[in-house]
Amino acid sequence: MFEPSESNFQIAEGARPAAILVVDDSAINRTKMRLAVRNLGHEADVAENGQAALNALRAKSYDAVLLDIMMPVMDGFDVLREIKTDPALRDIPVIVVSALDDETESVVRAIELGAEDFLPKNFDPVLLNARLGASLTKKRFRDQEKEYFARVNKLTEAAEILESGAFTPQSLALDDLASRNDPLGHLAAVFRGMAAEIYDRELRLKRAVHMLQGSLLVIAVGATWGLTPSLARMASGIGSNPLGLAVWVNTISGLFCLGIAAYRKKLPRLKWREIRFFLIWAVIAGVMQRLTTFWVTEHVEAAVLSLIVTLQGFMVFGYAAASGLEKANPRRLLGLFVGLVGVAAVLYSRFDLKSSTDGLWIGVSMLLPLLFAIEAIFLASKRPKEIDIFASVGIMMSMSAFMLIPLTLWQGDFMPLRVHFGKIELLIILMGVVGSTSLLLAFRLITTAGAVFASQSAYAMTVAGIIWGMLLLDEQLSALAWVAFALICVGLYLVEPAGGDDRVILNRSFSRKRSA
Amino acid sequence: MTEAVVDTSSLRKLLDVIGGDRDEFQELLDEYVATAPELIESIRVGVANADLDKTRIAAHTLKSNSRDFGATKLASLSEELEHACKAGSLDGTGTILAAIATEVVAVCTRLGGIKAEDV
Repeated sequence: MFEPSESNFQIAEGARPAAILVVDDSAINRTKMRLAVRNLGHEADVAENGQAALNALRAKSYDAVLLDIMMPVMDGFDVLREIKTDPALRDIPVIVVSALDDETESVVRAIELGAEDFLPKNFDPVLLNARLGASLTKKRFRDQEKEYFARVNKLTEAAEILESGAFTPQSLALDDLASRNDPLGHLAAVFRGMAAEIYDRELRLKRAVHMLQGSLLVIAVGATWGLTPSLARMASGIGSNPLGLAVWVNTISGLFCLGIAAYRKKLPRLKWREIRFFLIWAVIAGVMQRLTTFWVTEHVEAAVLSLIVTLQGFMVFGYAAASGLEKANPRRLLGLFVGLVGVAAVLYSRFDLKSSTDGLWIGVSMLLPLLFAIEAIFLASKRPKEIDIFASVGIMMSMSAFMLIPLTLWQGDFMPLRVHFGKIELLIILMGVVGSTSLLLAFRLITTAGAVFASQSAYAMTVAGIIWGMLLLDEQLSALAWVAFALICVGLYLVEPAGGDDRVILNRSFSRKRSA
Repeated sequence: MTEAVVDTSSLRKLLDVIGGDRDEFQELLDEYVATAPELIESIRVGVANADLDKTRIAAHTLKSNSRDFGATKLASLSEELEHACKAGSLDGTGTILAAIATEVVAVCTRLGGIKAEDV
């Protein structure tokens, strides 16, 4: 009786059992190899031809392949070629099994095709263990190397993202890498920390710039807009009527803006959707706002109306809170209130707000801020983004001028302009330019800072109106106007412009020279 | 001096290679006895149809199986046939074929009489 000598091989310390695929067309050989591999402490699967082997390799991860060369249909060389050209399989070591006596050429060819090693058919278990062990060690080393390079790549990618400009700490995706407790992990952690610091600093700067730009725009919109009542009062002083004036002012505005758009070669070809947008905008801004203003100014005190108009901010805020169009938090609401207090204070000091205005008319005049709020939300959410800003304002103004003409004729308010250029014609041109400028600025403000922030221009407009009145009409300026102005600035700070993503863009390169 | 049909030291080596499990060894032994006639049949059909590839692969398999089980003579006869196929001609393989057929019977008889426990 033969007692098998030390045949139960132990897997080398620290090595885990490997998954081996045995490929042979002979059932006896397959069984022999499978048992021999299992005896070394590894797991073995078998495949009886080349195609079955490739299917198995693609279905499961193997650590090594023991491959017979001479097989019908698809021989070992074909299998080897397939494995070595498939990026997913190419690193699996292949040991060709061959009756060495007459197949030296085949072994040489197999090794040239990328086989890791060879094994004679009538191998000794010690030899199988040695060859398999060597291949598996190489494979493990290669796997570690690949994993290491993948991590280096990831870190390099993060550096490239940072350097290419726009990034957020999340877009660097370094958390996984930085959690590893090795030198590369430490490097990733340091890199991530420094990137986060740069990010915070740049984001603060970006927000401050955004805030400053938005605030300047609010003041600019208010200042130009606030000029209109003074100009209108000057015009009515020399015998114009509001509706007739509006037709001409809108026409001039439209021509002015379209002229600029044409000069910039930005006149668009409108699609039906866009025409519909401009028609709605023209009805809201050019017709309804205008008519409501005329209608309520006859019944409501101008100062009270100024105050009511500022309510648009709260309306936009309410809509933003309900619809999620913009962030709506207590801080922004507080900011709107601070601005309102400022405006109310200055109006209270100048006018008797308790004068005999009918409560019903106060209610009706709420339509005006509502229309402004609707316009702001409509512009913020529906504007065709690809159409030039000058062309947009020009089209809307021209459309509204056309819409007002029939009404003006019907009311008998149409004002034929004189051929001789006089004071009224000058005022109309001035009002047209001022009107379109304020609209252009407001449009820009809404698109960059959001509807809620933009709505604060109503405060700026009221205060600016008072200041312009002093400058142009010799009205007296209350010191409170400056307090109001300060309060509005505090409000602007609290409300904060909306929008602006939290990506930071670095305009510097650390590794290569920027192209000139 | 007559050569032994089966070299029993090869059987011991095979048992060693598969880890010493005698049940598994018995299965391999039975498998050999069952497959050998099939391989001979494949070789016959291959030769009859002058199918070099088919003959060569069957001869190759018979060779390597026979080596594992110590059937040295059968292995070298099979190798001779394999070489003939490789050289591209089946001319004059009739004698080899006849010798293989005779030897297979002897090997299978011998192996059929061996029990795994006796190895």
